[in-house]
Amino acid sequence: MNKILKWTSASVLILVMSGCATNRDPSDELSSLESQYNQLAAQGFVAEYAPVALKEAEETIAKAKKLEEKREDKSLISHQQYLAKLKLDTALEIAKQKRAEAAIGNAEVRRKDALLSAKEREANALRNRAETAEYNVTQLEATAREMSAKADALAKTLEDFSAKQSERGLVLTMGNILFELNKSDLKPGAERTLEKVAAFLAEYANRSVLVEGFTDGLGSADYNQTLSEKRAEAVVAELKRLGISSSRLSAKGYGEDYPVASNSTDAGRQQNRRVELIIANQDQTAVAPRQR
Amino acid sequence: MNMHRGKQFFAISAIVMGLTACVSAGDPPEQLLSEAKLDVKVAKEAGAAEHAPLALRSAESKLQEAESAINQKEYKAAVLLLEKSLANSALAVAQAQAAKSEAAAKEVDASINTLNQVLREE
Repeated sequence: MNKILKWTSASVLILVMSGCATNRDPSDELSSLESQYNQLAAQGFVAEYAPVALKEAEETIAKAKKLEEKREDKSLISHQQYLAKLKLDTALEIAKQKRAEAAIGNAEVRRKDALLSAKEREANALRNRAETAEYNVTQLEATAREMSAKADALAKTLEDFSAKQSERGLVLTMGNILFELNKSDLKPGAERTLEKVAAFLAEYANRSVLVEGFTDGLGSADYNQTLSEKRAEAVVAELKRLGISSSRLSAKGYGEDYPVASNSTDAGRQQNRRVELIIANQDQTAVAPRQR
Repeated sequence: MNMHRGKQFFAISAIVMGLTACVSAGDPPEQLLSEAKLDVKVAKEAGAAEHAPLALRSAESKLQEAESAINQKEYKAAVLLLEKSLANSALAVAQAQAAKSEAAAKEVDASINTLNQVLREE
């Protein structure tokens, strides 16, 4: 009987040691587990994404704690602790997985957002360009009106001078005031007129200017052509002398072409004998040629 | 004579009570065993060999130990070993799935960053 008892207790001891041994003091391990649990619980995403797994870990820790308080067998306590450690790690992994899945789900939204933002940027850019263009047009119109008004004011102070806005630019028409009949050199009085014109041109310094000469229908076409060219060039020369940059100026003659009145009356012929000075519009680099 | 027998009986029952934690008694834990075997398989299929090798190895070794404990009719010990194996398998699965999901999320993130870059360059 004694032998059997001894054998049983010996094998029990071996069993206890092989199946349930642990390296660490159970109460140290328990604190470590509790602190690990607290750390996980503190990180919002674990509670958010793995609440069940976290609870399970908590319950296992509580079980281990209870066993310790009841001074149960160390092997039982350390078994619970072993499980608790694994369950804490598992809770963290599950939370990481769910969080990653949420991010993937979110990706579709982010993709749409990115495309939407790009469309918005595009729309804004277009709107800005349109607004700028609109503003620019308004500016152009305002400047054109201002120039026209100034030209009108100028016209009031001069004889034989009119101003009119056209597609090709602002047209200043000057008549007999500049030249004697059949002459291409400027009359003495012309200087005063052209001084005022030069002053006006100086205010719009970046505009191209085309001087066009015209004659009435009397005389040969060739003669009239030459005369009109010489007159246009005379005006250009005078404007240069008055300080207008030559790069802005050009001269052209049209002879008896483009009459503005009938050549069969004196009054009509007088009207046709003219010089037109065209100031290019703000958005044009040069005055557009006449369509023959 | 009677006293001596009484003492022995008391001693034996004391030992028996003390042994309830770790002494083999009752039926072999068949259900738990098949669960543990299945979970190791599941863990492997989830990619635990690549993403959770330590947990997988622990799950497998605890299972083996449990099987030999069962062979030696040490069922209580076997139960504890099987519980350990199951907990390791659960961790192995979770680790493997987390690794895969995080890798996928990273890829998606990168593709959206690329998209944003491309859109901004337009």
